[in-house]
Amino acid sequence: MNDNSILEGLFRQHCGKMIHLARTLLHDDAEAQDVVQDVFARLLENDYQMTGSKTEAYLMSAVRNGCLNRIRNMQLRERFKNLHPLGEADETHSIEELLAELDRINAIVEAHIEEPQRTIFRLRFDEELTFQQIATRLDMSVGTVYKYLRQCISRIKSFI
Amino acid sequence: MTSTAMETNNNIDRLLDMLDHPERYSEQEILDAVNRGDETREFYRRLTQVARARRNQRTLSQPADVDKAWEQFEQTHLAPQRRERLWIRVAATVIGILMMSGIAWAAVCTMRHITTTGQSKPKTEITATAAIGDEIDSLAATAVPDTMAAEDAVPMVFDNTPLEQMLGEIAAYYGMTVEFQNEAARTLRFHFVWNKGEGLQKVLDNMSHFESVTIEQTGNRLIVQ
Repeated sequence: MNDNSILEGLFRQHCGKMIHLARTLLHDDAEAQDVVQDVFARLLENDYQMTGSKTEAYLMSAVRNGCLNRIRNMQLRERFKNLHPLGEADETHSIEELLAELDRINAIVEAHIEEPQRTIFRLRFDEELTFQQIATRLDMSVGTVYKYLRQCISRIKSFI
Repeated sequence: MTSTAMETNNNIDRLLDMLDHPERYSEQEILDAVNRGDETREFYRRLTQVARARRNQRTLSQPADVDKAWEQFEQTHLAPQRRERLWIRVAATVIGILMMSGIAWAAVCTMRHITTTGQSKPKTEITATAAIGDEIDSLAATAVPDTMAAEDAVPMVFDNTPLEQMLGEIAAYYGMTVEFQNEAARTLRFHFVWNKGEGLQKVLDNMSHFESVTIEQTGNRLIVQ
């Protein structure tokens, strides 16, 4: 049995990044916490000796796999509603590549998305309002909201 | 705008409408809408990326509470383990008490044996000792020959005793000498129950569970490595 203080050290060192990744991949913070807890619970059960430079890579991969399993087990409608991938085609990148791509998208949004698209974008993805709620708040038609969002995505795509 | 572009926009708008009201559509309709063409598939893929990117951004400003997470982990996964250990400790204590009772009983029996020599049946007395010991450690009981001295039938308990002292007594009993090749091992302390009735080899086997030291017999020497 591993000494629990070793496990605690490992937990404290890596859990922040692990929870961050899980929150990024999942829509639900509580589920993200569960995934990370499960990873460490498995280490505890299997008396896994974690040392060396690959520890973080192992833990992060375990988190990603845990998140993807949860997503796979969701009903398709729930996956769609929370904007999760419906297939597995996107999951071939390494975690570093995945996070780098997300950083790139955020940088593009900051630098190249202007009003009024920027407000639409922020309300939909940051405040997570529905398109109907956005339309009501901005006093415009839902069709116009769709149009701005299409323009947004198209612009982001043009910089990737 | 070409009719193809208009059709693509309409397909994407339908997809966006579905996002607001997924409950109105069957799973097949949702899949069909996403996979209607390369543009819709690509659009949905970008939406998922953007959603992740923004969640990633948001969570940067809300760092995880590591203390709370560890507390939760401890409560869920380590507390049951501690409860198990507590039970083991309780069980060990009970066994210890029983063992001490056995020792006390053995002492009483031995005293009776001494005071009644020539009047009663010493073999029966010692067998009684062994029978009580049997509840605790069958090896101790079964290994005791009728003719063995009562004090040899009683396990000796070394409680947090330095290895040098413990091994010195054991070695002397079996007519061995001790050689410490690992000097640091002299002061290591161990808990050990020594059943003198057992052969030296069995005792060494029992001691092989000690961490950090290895004890080997070479001729009449016990070598500590």
